[in-house]
Amino acid sequence: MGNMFKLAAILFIVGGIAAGALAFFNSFTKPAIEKLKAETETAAREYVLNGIVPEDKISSVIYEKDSVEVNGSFEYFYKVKENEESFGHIAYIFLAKGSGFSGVVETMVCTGPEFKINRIKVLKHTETPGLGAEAQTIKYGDKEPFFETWFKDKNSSKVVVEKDDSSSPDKVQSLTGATITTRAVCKSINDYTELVKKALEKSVQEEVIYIGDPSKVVEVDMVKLQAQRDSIENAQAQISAGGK
Amino acid sequence: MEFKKNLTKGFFKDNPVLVLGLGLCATLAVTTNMINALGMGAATTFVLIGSSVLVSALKKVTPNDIRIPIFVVMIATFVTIVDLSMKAWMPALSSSLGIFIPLIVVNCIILGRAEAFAFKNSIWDSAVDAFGMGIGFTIALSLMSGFREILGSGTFFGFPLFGSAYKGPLMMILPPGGFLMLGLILAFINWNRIRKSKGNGGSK
Repeated sequence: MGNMFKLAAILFIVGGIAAGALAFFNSFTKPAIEKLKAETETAAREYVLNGIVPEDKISSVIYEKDSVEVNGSFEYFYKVKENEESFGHIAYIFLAKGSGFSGVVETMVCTGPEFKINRIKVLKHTETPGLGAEAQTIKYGDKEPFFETWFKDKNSSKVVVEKDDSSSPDKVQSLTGATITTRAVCKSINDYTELVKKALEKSVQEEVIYIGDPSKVVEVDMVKLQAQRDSIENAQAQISAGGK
Repeated sequence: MEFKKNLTKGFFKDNPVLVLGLGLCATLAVTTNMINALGMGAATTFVLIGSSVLVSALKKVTPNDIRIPIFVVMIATFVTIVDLSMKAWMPALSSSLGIFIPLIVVNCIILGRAEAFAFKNSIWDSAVDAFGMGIGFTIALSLMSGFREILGSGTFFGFPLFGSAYKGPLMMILPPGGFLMLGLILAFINWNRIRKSKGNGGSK
């Protein structure tokens, strides 16, 4: 019995030392990992934005963070303004996630205000090398992955795999042997475009509601509402009277 | 003499993958190109040396009954260190090796060497043995991925060998190609061994 406690105590100590060592090491790598993550995201954002905004002006654009609700949790997307003074958004950037052949495929998408795709970038995937993984492959001599260029100027809420709808103007070829991956990217872009559209509509409504003095808005509304109700009741009464 | 034997036995004679048949899961999975092979080999060698030295250093105070869990905790610590540093300083390699870095914890080569060698030998011998085994593992991985990368994608270290129009048998960098290549290499090694033992007049 005593032996058992001794063994448990030794294991506990070993575990404690290991945890301490890892915590110590983590304090070195954590900032580096976070910095890298932020840099990767910024680089990807500037990469997909390139084309809508000239390269030399990308550093001065303003990103407005907004969020969409996906399966109960919030994910960010960006509304892009050309600079501090400009009005209205020139682009939307969002990270579309969909399930591919063997895991989640994450694609950074930049669209114009009319949801025409400017550029996409496949950021993360676990697809089969040589098939689905070709989505990230840059052919020797090319500058960007050939897969990503297929999406240029397509409508982001309608983009579809050629095999599924060959008559659509927004069709893209599927990667050889990896239709599932292509379909996943298209579908995730479609889905997230709808979410972003919804979020934008909502924010427009909110803006309308909060224009001016809120208390006056409520007062006016109540008067109007009563008038509307009265007129509807009158009309109904007339109809029922006329019907008799 | 002992030093040289400890160091070099892992290269070919007792090669962990090609002769002992350990760590095949990682071998089959990551050997799709040379960069992966060298990254995986280096990571595994580091974990091997670290855990072997620690196991050997603490063998007097490690109770025999719970040595395996203690080994696993030590190995896991080193693996996590490798995983974190790769994520922080070699993100491209980290994303292409993916889950197989954390899975080094359960690579039989490491637990096998801790149990079979480090727990019974001195710190120095264990370190040398671990280094030799790590190099042997890297040799095996490079052999596999060299053939697979050249045949499957027509590249070597990502550099195109036959021009960009080359379309190789893609199967070679897919899982079936891994099994096929491993089978061929093992068959060649066994054939070579049998041929040699016959040449020596031995019939075993």
